[in-house]
Amino acid sequence: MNAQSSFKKELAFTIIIILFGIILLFLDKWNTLGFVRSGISYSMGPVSLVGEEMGDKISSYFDNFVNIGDIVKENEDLKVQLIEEKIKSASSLELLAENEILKTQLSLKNKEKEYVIGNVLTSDSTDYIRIDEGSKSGIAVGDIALVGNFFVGIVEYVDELGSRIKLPTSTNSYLSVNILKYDENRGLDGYIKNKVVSRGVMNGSAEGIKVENITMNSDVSEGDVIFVNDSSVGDMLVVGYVVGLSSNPASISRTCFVSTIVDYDILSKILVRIN
Amino acid sequence: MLEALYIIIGIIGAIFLEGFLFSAFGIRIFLLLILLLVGRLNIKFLSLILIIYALISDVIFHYPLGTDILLVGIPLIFLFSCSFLFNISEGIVGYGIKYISIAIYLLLIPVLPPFLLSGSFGILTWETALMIGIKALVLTVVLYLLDLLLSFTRGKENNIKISKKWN
Repeated sequence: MNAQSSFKKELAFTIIIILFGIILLFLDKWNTLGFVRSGISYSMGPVSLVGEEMGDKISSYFDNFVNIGDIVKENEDLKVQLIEEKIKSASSLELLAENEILKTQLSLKNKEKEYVIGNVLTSDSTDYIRIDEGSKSGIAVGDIALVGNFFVGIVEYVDELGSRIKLPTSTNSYLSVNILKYDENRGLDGYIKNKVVSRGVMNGSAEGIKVENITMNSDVSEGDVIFVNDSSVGDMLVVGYVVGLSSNPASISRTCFVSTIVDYDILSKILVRIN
Repeated sequence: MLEALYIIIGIIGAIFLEGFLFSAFGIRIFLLLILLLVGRLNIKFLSLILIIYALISDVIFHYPLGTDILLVGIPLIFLFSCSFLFNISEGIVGYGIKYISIAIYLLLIPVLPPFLLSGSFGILTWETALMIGIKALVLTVVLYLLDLLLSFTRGKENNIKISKKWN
């Protein structure tokens, strides 16, 4: 009975409070309680804000926890998408490289010759490279591998679906070369029309590609251009520049090394000229 | 004087806790706190705390001043009205009525403030109603556990008086 009388009192207080609340609503509607709002906002706002920020962090954590299945699925989808994009990107790069090499070849004068384009396969050897085209594509031993006007090597072994190309870096490679003066003003023609300053024999060595038998009193200097001029190659193809020219007056000939224009290690596609 | 300090610290702590729980789980604990204090605190003190807390809540949640008093007042009227028929202090019936009070409070939160702000009631879907039912159940369980915890604490009236008899 006591408890019931106690709740009667509380009920009465609650009704009074509600009435007070309704009065507050009207007062606030008439904008007479702005000072109360400002005071509370300044003093208690930050307290609530700190709590809300902490709550937000917990909430996002729980959201992630609840949606972990969706997140995992999304992650898997993204992985697949990424792989697809990588494949597309790799294909594009492949096409780009092929396009580049064909454009280079088309800009040359020897368009009438027949070429086979091949992908360079990974090889640990510095003496040769392998490509994924062989006798099925018409490649035969002795064919010349090149990129544009740059000499790459000579096909030394062919099977149905692949070929091995001997590079100038090979110790078994011996080729006659011409050394020409470089003329900046005359461009590519400058190499051809200028006189040959010396001839030599190019072969691979442990130190690099070496040119020997350069005439002692010739006007060869660093930076001159080395062309392959060998019966096994046919065309005048560029190999690189003269570097490390020897200057021993007691020798009967001079030697130099070749700084190749294209790095053989980074070749991805080459052309093989079919005889 | 000390009571005033308790009230201020308690209100600040409760505001922080409510901000945290509302952001994290969408739960408001105002009514829960009032239900905890009913019967434990003088009704005059309780009314004062309710009004101050309600005003602060109104400002923080950007409601018109007095909204929270109505939000808490309506379920409390239901609760105290039920006290004429049932014992609301304890037992399954008591906590059942408290559950309904809390559910009414949580139901009013999305409905009443929009009405007072714009004149149209807020939208209430079955999903929201289900969530309210679950939240009310959780809060009732929490209320029961807190009641249980507070019943173990020693009040002034339960002090054991030790006396020594000198021969």
